[in-house]
Amino acid sequence: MTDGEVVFEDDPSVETNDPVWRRVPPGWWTFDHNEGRVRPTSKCFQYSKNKETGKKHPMSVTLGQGLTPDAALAGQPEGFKLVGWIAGHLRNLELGICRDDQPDIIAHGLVFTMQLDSAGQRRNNISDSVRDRLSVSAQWLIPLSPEEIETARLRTAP
Amino acid sequence: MITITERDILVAKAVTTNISTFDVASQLADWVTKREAQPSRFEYLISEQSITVPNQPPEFVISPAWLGRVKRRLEELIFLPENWDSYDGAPVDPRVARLAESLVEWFGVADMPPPDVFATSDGGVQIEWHVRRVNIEIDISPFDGTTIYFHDLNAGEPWSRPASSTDLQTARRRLIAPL
Repeated sequence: MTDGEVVFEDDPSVETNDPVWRRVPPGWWTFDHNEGRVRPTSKCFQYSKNKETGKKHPMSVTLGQGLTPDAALAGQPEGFKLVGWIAGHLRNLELGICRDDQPDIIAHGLVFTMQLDSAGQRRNNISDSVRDRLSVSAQWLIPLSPEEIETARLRTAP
Repeated sequence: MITITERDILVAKAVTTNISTFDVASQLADWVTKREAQPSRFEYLISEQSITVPNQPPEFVISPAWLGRVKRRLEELIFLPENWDSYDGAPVDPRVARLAESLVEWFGVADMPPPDVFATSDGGVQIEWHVRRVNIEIDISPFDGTTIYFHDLNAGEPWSRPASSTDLQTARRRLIAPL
């Protein structure tokens, strides 16, 4: 993945079993009637877009080693949830992970696709199928309440 | 009850033909033009409950139970604050919301399960279903066009591509098909 002059490479210092977390805004989950459970919408897992340059930027994550989920959500409005995976799982999905220290963001990291397009260049976003698998495999670290789950189920019940 | 007509279906088909080459303003203008150009002649028998084609069972009835709620949700997404997702997300582009509303209406046929709709960080909308052994996601982006992700859990590998009219009709048929 490149972003201007920056080239992102998978960082082996993020070890296989290290936790990688992503915040989920309030309500950005859906009931998967095929699986019988709630999952974050796959759109939670995509590159961001720089509003000034229009360039896409890898997905921001929190590298959770040594942190608590509550610490990762500190300062966020009420209702945010947290989901996560281990780094090895992301790498199995052809994703790379690197550290991206930011002065005001705790344990900030980036996740980016390692997949190539037909021209042999890194794709500029996480593919739909990988996003779907991220959604299905995401573990809830800040879980939904029974009421939130039921609301989501009823909203899409056939 | 609102009844969807074959004319509406034809109009919707015309709209979705251009979705793969998404340009919100031109697409909506094109749609309005085609809607106004449609003939007003109906060959089907229209009742309170459905459209009945002679010698065929009722097929298309709009699903009113969820449509209003989904449309209200789309409207709300326009007014999301900046950074609503804590990752610098933008509120939904109103033109995208209007197109999403049109598409949701087109999907609102008899026995259609309700979709979930979500804002995307680039100001777009995702419409999705995870039901009846199929996962379908339609992503309308103000920058990257409209794409569809389709995974029939009974039928092999998922696929994803710019959404064509045929793809959208495939999705609609699959969602209302009996298991």
